[in-house]
Amino acid sequence: MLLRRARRRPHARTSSRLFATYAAASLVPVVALGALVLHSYRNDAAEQGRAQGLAQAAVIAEMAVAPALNTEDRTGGAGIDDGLTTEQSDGMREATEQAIFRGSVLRLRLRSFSGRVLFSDDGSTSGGVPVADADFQAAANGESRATVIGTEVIRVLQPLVASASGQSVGVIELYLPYRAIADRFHAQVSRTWWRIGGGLAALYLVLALLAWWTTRSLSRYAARQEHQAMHDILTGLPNRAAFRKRAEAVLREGGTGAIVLSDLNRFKEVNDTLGHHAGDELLRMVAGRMRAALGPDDLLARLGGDEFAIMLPGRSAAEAVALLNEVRNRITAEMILDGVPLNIEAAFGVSVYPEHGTQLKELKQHADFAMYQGKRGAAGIVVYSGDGAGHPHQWLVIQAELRHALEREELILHYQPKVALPGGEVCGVEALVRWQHPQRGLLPPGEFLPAAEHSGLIVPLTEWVLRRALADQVGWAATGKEWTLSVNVSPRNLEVPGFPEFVEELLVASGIPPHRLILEITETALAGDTDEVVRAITELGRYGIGISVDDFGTGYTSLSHLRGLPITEIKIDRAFVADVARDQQSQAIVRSVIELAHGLGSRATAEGVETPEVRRWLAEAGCDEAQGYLFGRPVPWPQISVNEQTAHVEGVTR
Amino acid sequence: MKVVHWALAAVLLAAAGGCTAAAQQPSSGALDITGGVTVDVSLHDQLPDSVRARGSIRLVTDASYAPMEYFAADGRTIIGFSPDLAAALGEVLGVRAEMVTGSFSSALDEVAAGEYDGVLSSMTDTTERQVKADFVNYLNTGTSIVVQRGNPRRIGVFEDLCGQTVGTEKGTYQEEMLQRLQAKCGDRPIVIDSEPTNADALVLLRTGRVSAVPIDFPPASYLVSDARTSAFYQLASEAQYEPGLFGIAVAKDNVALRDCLRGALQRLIDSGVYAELLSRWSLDSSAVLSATVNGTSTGI
Repeated sequence: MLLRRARRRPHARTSSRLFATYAAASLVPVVALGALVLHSYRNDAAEQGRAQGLAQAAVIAEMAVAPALNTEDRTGGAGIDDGLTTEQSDGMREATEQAIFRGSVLRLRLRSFSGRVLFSDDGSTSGGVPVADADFQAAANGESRATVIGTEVIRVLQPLVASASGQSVGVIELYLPYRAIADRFHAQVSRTWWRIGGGLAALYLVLALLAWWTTRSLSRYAARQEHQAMHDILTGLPNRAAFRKRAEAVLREGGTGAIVLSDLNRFKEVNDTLGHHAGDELLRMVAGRMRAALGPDDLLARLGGDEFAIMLPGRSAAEAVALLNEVRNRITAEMILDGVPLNIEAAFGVSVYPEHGTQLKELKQHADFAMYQGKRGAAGIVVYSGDGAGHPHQWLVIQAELRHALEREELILHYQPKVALPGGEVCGVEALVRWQHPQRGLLPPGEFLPAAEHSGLIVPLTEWVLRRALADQVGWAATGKEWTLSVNVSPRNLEVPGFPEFVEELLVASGIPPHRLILEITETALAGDTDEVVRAITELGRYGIGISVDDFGTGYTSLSHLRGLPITEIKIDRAFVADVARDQQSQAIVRSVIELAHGLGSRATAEGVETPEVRRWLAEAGCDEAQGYLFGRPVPWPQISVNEQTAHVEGVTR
Repeated sequence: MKVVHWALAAVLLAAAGGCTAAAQQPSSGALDITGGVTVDVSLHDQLPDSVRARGSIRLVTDASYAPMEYFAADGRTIIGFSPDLAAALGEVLGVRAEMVTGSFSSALDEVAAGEYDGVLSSMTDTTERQVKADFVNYLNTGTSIVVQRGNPRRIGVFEDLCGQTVGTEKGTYQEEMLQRLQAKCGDRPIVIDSEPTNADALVLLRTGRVSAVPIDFPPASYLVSDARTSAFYQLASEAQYEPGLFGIAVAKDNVALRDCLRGALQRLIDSGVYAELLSRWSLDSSAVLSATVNGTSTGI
């Protein structure tokens, strides 16, 4: 809830800001339009007022002035430059005095072209517009002009045409009341203002509504987009990006907590056998079960594929593991997909902050590493244990260097002897790879095998080991030793098509009998028995190559997995062997595994034999073969015979 | 071409009475607004000293007779065929021709008194008027009767004017025609309303105070075809009465000017400028064939 609210607020802010922008942007053209319309309307009205003044003046000139001047004794060309005759002056006075008196005309002057006042309503001969005035000049040239003076008066200057011939003999200067015209014009403008203002306000309202509606749609769309961008469509959980964003936010706040990475053990199998639809359904169910087990502050995200990430803020490693146990139990509960009952396992890798780091990337790498260890080993929930051998930071470096190492022959093989019980003679060796690193010296497999396993580099590596070990075997066979050769094989090798044929060809090329080669497969690898793995094991068995189950007793192998497979050896994990001389439960387990191996027609081999007591107990229990420091550490094969001697003499090898 | 010009000039000068055949040559590079009109130096030299000294001739006109002479929209500029002709004559003579507004009825007297150099106002050349002035004839036309549109008084021929109130411009040939008709009207006399200008007479016709106005054919034709006036006026008939000549009246004692004007007009006729000016004002049918002094009409 906290996250959601925090997310909503910027939306609302963006949305309202957008709306404000829209509203302001549409206000500009609306106001501009209004101003333009009003302005042009005012201009039109003023023009109309002037036109009215001109028309009025024209009527006055033609109906009052011209008849008064157009007297019988007028001599055509003489004009009136010399002043009006008495008759004309009287005529003018008679014609205009009513209009003057009633205020229809405020002032009337007749002017000669030179500007002389020929007639004035008040009898004076002074005053009037200067001759230089543009309006006077225009009127002298035959053009009428009207000018509004103030708001009360309109002044008209127009040609004085006295006769029908159209001859202009002077200029009429006429002042008309403008008050009535102006009042009407103002009333019109204000009416128009209200109409246009109302119309524009309505228009603006519509625009604002449109803007509001659009911004709302946009922000909803954006919210949906963001939700989609931050969520996994299949499960509805936050996606990788969302996890990173929120987890980083939580990490910035400090405090303690755990970052968990998890993936499902048999997801690929479900996808391959039941189809993608079932795979999707599985993911949804798993997501639901995980979410149900987690608290409200815990963050669950699907990173992709069958990979999930969990952030558990405020929890210690122990609390995280306890919670994850609950999660795992829920996931493991049987589920039915397309009518097929399934048990799904998940591996969890846990890193804890701030102990393992404060950066999400770092914490995820640690968690990933821990998860990988979990998948390899028996434990389903693994907490990162500090700077271990295979620090994930170095993996990329190691992978790159390992590629060169394969080319440059920097890898070497050591062999650890396996002895037959109860006699103690060496009956076989297990090939163990070492890396003669140019800078770091001789590296044990733990330093680089996890990286190789993780990257798929394990495939060429195993092939190299097989080729070299078989060559060595040819060597010791030439000295008359009939040791079997055990080579560890990754499930990845078994998944490579044509792997059995490849091994067969190597055997044929080296001339080693197939039963002298034993391929060791971890129990955990066997537990994930996909079709390819089972097919490869069967094929190898058909060629007569021995198959050994490594680390037996620690993985999750259902015993039914062993059925039908051509297993020739079961290696009892060192965890049971170490205290088998004293611990009764271990004794019971070891005995039953020996029994099981024999029952399946396989040999039982004990790993990690370090004391004569254990060796004695195992021999008595009927264990067929044993391996351990007691009999020899891994060494280059030519040194094995020496160890064999000392083992016989001293009975102890450290 | 030059030879032809020379020959032509010689013939013209031989015909131009008072203007003796002296060395004459068209000067080139002179003002040339009407196309092909150039100053005739010999004509210029024969102008009266007063005119040459002034550099202009002043012609009086009553500008109420569109399209012959009338006021432009500004009420001050006189436009029409007469001012155009005057300008062209001035070009040939190498002086400025001024048109001055004046009263038609007193124009001849003012010319005789020397106030103006001549009258150029669509004045018909009559023997009576020849007593006061000599006329350089420039247009050949008759008189038409203008009536209100619809011809409410059913006036057909000139004699129908008997018993009517008829408007006319004071001192015109038409006034004289009406007075002559009056003698024949007997007990149905014409009421003749003589107005100071032709426009005043037309105002009376427009407002129905007179039944008809007899005026020269060119302005009559203009009046009934112009968009602004054709709604109010029409011709009583297509007939033109008493064809006569319009002339530029020049004082009797000013023979030099008269002959120079005649010579100049003849040059305009010969060079085609005259025909061009007539055409501009739709007066093609009223052309004179040659420039004469106190001539007689060749008929319509």
